[in-house]
Amino acid sequence: MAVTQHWLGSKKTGDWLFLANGLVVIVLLNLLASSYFFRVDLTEEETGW
Amino acid sequence: MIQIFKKEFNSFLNSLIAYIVIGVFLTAIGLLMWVFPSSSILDYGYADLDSLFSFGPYVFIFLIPAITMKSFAEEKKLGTLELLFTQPLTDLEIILGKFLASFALVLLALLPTIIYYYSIYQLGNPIGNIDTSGAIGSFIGLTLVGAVFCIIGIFASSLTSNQIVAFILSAFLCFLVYNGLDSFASLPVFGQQTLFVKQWGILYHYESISRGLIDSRDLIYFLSALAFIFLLTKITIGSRQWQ
Repeated sequence: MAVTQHWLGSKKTGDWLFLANGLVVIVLLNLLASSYFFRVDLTEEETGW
Repeated sequence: MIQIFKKEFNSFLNSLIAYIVIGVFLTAIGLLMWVFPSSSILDYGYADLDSLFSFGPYVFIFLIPAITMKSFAEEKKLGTLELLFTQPLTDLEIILGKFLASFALVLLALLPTIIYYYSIYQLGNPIGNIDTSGAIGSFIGLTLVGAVFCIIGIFASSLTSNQIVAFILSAFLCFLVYNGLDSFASLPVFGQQTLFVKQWGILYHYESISRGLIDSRDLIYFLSALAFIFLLTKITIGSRQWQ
């Protein structure tokens, strides 16, 4: 547990690491979203049988 | 987080802010939709909600910063922010609580506009001759735009202890993100990159959703914008405890 506390060092380091990780997640999410996407077409009318 | 949400939301309801915001929003949109000849549906002759959804974000640009300007700026000025940090809450919980309270107020302002939909539904010839899918898409889009404006407002408020500065900065940033990037894209300097620059702005995605076609990429864009500004706000708020 003590190792974890020292590794983070300070709140400043922790905050910057959180920002960096967050940015990476956002970029990855957008890259994935550009490749795999879906559309919900609300304008489609239901066709009855 | 729930405590912060309750405290913030009650402070809106106990002061005049909530009633003024809802009243001004509905009056402004009502005037634009039904009274002013240049945008009135009665003069226009088509049963649609275009005026609500095209003017709505511009009304939000002025109203949402007015809701969010006090969230951190006032706490800084009164010195209660340090008191807030002593509570067993993380920075994210504090920001999320304040964001949800502002967003709930925006939803509360947006809710009565369903009456406009019903009115136009009845006014259509034949009755019900209205683009319902477009209206649903636009309502979803306007809600997402409201959410992004709320977090921009909270971010601006976290930068300063002066509420007026927070308001002006927030309104400017909202305008820049909503319409500014779209206008920048038309500059000849961007050449072939016009579409790429446009996609950075909210307007491009808002218009896309407003057509009644919910694309996962548009939803991811709004979520990413929210997450990015959340992170920036967390850094700004957290930086006060770095020393």
